[in-house]
Amino acid sequence: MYPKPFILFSILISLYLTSCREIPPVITPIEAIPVENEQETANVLMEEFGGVRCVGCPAGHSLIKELKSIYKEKLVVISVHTGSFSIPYSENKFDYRLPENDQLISELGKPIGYPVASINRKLFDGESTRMLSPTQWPGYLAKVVSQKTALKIEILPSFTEGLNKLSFSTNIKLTRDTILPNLYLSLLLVEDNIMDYQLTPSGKQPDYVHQNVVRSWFTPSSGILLSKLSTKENLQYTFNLTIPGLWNINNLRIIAILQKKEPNNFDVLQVIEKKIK
Amino acid sequence: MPFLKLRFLLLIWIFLPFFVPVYGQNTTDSEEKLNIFGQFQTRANFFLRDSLIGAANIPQYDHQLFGSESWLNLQADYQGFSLSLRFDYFNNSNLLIPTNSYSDQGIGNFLIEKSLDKFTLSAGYIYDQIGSGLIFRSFEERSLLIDNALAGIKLKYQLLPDLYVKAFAGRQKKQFELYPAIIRGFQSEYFHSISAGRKKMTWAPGVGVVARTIDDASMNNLVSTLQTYTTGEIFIPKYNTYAGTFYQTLQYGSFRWYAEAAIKSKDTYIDPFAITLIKGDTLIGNRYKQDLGFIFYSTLSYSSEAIGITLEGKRTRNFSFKTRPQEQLNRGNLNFLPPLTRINSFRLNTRYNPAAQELEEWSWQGDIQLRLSEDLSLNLNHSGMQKSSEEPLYREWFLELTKQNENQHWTAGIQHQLYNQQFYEFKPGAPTVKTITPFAEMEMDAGKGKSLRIEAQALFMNKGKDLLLNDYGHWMFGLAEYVLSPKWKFSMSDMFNWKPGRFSPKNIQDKAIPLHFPRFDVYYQPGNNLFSLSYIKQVEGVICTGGICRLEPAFSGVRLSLNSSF
Repeated sequence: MYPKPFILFSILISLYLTSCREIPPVITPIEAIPVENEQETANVLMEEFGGVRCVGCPAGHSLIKELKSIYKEKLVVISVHTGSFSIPYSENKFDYRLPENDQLISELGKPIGYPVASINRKLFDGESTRMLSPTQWPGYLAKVVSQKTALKIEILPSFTEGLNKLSFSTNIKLTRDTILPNLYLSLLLVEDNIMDYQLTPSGKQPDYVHQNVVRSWFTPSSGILLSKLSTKENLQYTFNLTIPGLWNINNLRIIAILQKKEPNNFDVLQVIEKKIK
Repeated sequence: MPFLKLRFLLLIWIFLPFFVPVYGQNTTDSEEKLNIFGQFQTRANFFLRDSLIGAANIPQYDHQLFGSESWLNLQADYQGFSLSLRFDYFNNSNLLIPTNSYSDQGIGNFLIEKSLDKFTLSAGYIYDQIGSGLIFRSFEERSLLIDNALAGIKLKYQLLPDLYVKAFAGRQKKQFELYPAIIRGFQSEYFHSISAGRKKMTWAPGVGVVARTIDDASMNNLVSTLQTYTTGEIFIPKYNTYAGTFYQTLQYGSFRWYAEAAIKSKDTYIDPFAITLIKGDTLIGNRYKQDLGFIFYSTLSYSSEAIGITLEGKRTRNFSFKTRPQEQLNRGNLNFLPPLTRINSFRLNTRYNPAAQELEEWSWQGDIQLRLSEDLSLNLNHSGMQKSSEEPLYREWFLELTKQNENQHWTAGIQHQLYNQQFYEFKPGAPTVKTITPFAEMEMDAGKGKSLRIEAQALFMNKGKDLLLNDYGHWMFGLAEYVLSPKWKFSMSDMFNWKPGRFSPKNIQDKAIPLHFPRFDVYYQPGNNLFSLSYIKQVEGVICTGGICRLEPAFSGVRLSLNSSF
């Protein structure tokens, strides 16, 4: 009855159907990456944002644990408590909020929901935010894990028992001659294995084990401007802190982050961590 | 990357009048004339911090103090050409992310259309939908800052007087950028009318197909994530996803039947409720999955002078259709799932709104409008939503009586809601909310353009097993509105949490206290401009427009707005 439209319709449908075949991507499960050329490749910084009232954060923590088992020491994780989900419950042992944490999330951009993490503080192509949801973490980690670096950082801590005094110095130098933009150094202290309240999908859990929790910043979270680097001499900075008695010295790590600070580019170029004891 | 450069668009606007023949402006035929018209909308918020109600800890309350949004829309029609242009401005706006600040500006929309005989060609940012939107809908919803326009080309051809075909291709808009995935689609609709005795029967069927091709970067990211999954969870993702729909409207006398069935080929989506066991840890939350999807949606209605009946049903399974699998919540939606719950208007009746579920949903609605006498009518409504055989997610029963004469309009009714707060708002341990909400409204015409409207509502909340009132507990609401036509309108209202519940704001002694949420509005309308000045304290809650919802934090501040058309 209506030949023309049906012919056209058939052609269009045929085009759709015949274009259905595609060559699929190959998926190879990865268990753990081989750690090689440590001198040349940079570690990756993953900053996870959340809080004790963030119901989705335990799922994010499980995923981080899984990623850590793959990338091991190449992946440096910090857990930044900030925003309305970080207001402590009256039952919480500690208030994990810090002004520097709020400053950091303001600089990187507040997320639409939690849990989120930034990877190397990088704004990846095709993304409008540095705050990545858990389903994006493995993909972007894989993208930056082979990033080369010419930066070498060393942390030399010393701890005075009794006085609870922590003193450490950071040595920074170039491993080869190269031209780098102005770099900024951030230093912070994180604590693992803190047993405290956390909201989970089954309610408030009193014995939740918090990992990678930022305890203190030695510098602004956006860092301090470094002097010129060279391959010959170390650039050295020294910091001191009295560790509060309730913090477990055996679970504390110092983290040093070197990053760019250009308009809309805060990419991290190297990050290292060192246990105090 | 903006779709078109601002400078280029401005040049078109500046030079357009020079190409318009002078004689065209003097003819009486409106097609020959250059018609330019537009709208302007602006909203400025002065934020006043109130940590007690939760209006705090976002940049606007902490240090920015001010935020605004503006849209200027211009349209020019001339000799079958239509050109529209919209400028969008956001300054420290809380519309995009209610807990953050967003500033940007640019061309929010640009569209050229030309009708040529049976052809209509459109290029630019296109708003359109197929059927009821199950497989494709590009639209703008300003209250949630959703603008899913398709930046591309659309061709429509009228094959027969009762039959058209349409094809389109493009990329979805993301604020002032574009998502990289390519979307293409086809639609055809037919209309047929026959006389069956004294009554007429019409049949309007339609078909549509939409395909989406994921970009390489999104696929690489997806593959890298899947590589970390356990062997049993891994699947091979597809670059191309196809969705097809068939819909039809059959009308016979007072009866109308709409039905739509849509299917989607295997597509990767995020399951926000996935339960995964990883090395001894149980992970609840986002996990990629891949499945076929389908939806069936139908509406049957009957209407006469005395009675109107509507029955609706919808079954959804794995029908999250986004521009790329990584997008979540209201971002990157290619389709729209119509909600099957009553669209309420009174303040306390709208406190609990269930969002349409993309992955698993049974929903239904029945509505009866009965005219009891010349000035008295009754509305009875029931709706519900369910996920498989689990406990009920949402139920609503609604009864409303309306009586009106020349000078008065009375409305009174009662609503009962059951709302699974734990599910819809991700609040662990939150018991299911059950409310009873009586309401009344009276509107009186005092003559000489003066009228008064009064609303009163109360929301009674159930208790949990611990005998605490659920959510925010009991509420009362009152509103008085006085209109001085044609220019002035004054309104004042208060929402009072007179018996606080388990989630009501608490003071520094950690005690929930009764709180008032007042609002004062002044509206002034000289001609085509509407100014409004409001002082608002608003409780946090789920805001829904259509079936799209999001949790909005509390608001405290002064709002100034202007709507103009010219």
